[in-house]
Amino acid sequence: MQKNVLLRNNVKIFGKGRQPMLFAHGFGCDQNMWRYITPAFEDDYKIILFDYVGAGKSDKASYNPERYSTLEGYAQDIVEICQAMGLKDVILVGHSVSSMTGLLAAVEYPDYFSHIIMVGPSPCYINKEGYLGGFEQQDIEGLLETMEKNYIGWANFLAPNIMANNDRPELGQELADSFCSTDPVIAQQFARATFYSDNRQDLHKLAVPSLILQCDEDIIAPTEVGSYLHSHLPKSQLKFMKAKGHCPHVSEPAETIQLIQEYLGVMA
Amino acid sequence: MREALFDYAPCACFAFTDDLRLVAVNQTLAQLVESDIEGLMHKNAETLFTLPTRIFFQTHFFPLIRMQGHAEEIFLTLRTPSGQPVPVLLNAKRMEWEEQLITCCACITVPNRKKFEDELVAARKTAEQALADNSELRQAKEALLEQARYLDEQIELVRGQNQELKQFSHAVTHNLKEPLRKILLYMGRVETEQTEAAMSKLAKAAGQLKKVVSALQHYVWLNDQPVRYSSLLLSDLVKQAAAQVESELAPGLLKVTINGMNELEGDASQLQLLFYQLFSNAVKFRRGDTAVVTIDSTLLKQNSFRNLEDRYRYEEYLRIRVRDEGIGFAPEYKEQIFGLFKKLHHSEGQGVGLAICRKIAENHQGHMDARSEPGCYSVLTLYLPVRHERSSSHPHSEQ
Repeated sequence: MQKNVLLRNNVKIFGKGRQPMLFAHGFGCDQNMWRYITPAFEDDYKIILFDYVGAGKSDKASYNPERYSTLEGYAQDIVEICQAMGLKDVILVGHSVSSMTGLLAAVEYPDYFSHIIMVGPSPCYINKEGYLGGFEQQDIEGLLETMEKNYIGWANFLAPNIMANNDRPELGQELADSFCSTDPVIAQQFARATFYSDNRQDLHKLAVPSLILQCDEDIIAPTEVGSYLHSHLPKSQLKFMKAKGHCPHVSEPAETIQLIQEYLGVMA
Repeated sequence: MREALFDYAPCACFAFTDDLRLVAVNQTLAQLVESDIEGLMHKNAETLFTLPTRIFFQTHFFPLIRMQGHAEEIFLTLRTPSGQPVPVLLNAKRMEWEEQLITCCACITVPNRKKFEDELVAARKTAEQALADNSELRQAKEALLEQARYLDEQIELVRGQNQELKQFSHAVTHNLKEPLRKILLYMGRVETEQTEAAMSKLAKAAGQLKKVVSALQHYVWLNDQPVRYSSLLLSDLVKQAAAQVESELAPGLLKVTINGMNELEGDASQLQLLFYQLFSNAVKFRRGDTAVVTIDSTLLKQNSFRNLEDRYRYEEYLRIRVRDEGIGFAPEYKEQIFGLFKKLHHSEGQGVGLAICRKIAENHQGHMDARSEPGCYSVLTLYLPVRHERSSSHPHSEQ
């Protein structure tokens, strides 16, 4: 079982430190997204990377539509990795939707975690009465449509297994290494689970201290959302980043690293 | 000529820096988005696109271009002030230009391809919908889900009953036989010697027998009791249970604080008994003069399938954690302590308290577990499903 979980989620473990630092990728990508961030923490922490079931190089056969139709199913991946490895005192770094899956895991098992670092988090993407999430229902439908269209265009790109067997193995390898190479049905379900989620009622339950990294001009997690989170998450700190967009760990790794280091330095 | 080609080529061209500022745009693009070159320069490249496309841009396109340096055949939609979106296919490449990294993009409009793809997607959706709408299939699926739940509950029930059977057989062979043996032994002595000592031992053994029998009775009674659900306040249950413990032992022994969700549904008398058992344990195994108990109650979602593998249905549970700063127990006993007549410490009582608690949790279709740091604290956690009508409404549940 334990080994299975590590294989299932394509868990990678490295680093010289003892305290675990678990990096959880967001929607649309996989653990490769952390490659500019992890080198800065390798000397002091035990780095753990993984892909959610259905993403990256996880075991697609383990994908269960019942389980992964809600964020709780994804949160269970985090919990099961912690249990399989016997992790305690974990610093969880979650990008985008993983801030909320991390929150769900930490509400259920507060003892596993020491801090949650949320990169571009949002508890609810759709505008609700008195709440500005940034999107309307039809925007999310539009995203699902855009994804469907891109999977038509990327038919080959999305079939690394076929590509791997052709005359140009190096091409297959390159494609297999690309992220976003998710099964279209799984990607659609992840998009639905993510963008239709509403975890606003769960925020006050988080007993673990958290850091909110709020990007500038982030359409997916606008500044108002960061402030909303800060006012509803007990023991949270809010940092406004210079980084623009939704992926500061890719666009501004240095700033992202610095803010995480400052936070961990202060909190330790 | 080359400049004219850039400006008027039949494809929209633009380039942006790493912070997404547009540093070059051609005339074709400006015309497509009903603007002019000056108006577009230095704007955020992302704003060229519709809102749904911008999500895709941030979650897929941007990481792709930054991690891989290029992207091909990406389907995106340009935004226009008049509101008519323009579907395009885009190729992009990240390169160095005048000592900075820029991403160059070229896109062609694909209105016909879009129509064709719309039809493809629509056809697939129709097929999927037909499958989903197949009412027989849907009914069969629902029935299957219901059966799976029922099966899961039955497994839980049978597992619990097997466990009980074992414990009862153990109770009969040990807990009941031992006082009986003593009674018979001292009966013999009473007949021959009629000593005071033998009489008192006889009385003690008979008393012990009575206690074991009544503990068993209590436990069996819980099996037969239907759960009577009503809306309750955790604070009321706790107050009453604490008062009961203090009136039986001594006042001022117990200090309880409650945090979180106060409303719950359940059987008032059973849940009060549960808290009574937990509190009397907290008092019995306290460190120092007072038993300090903290209760927190949180709503969370858990998979309601507890026995069947690969079945998932996340439903709301109320998690009530009862923590006492008592002597605790070693982690290896975390299951044993819920057994009947299992006592880890030499103390008063029969060792049925936690068995009763777990029974009450199970009566509510919930569950219970325990953990502890010996010498520091123990935490007993109760999970109660928020929605509990399904079992009683199940057609088979009366059988």
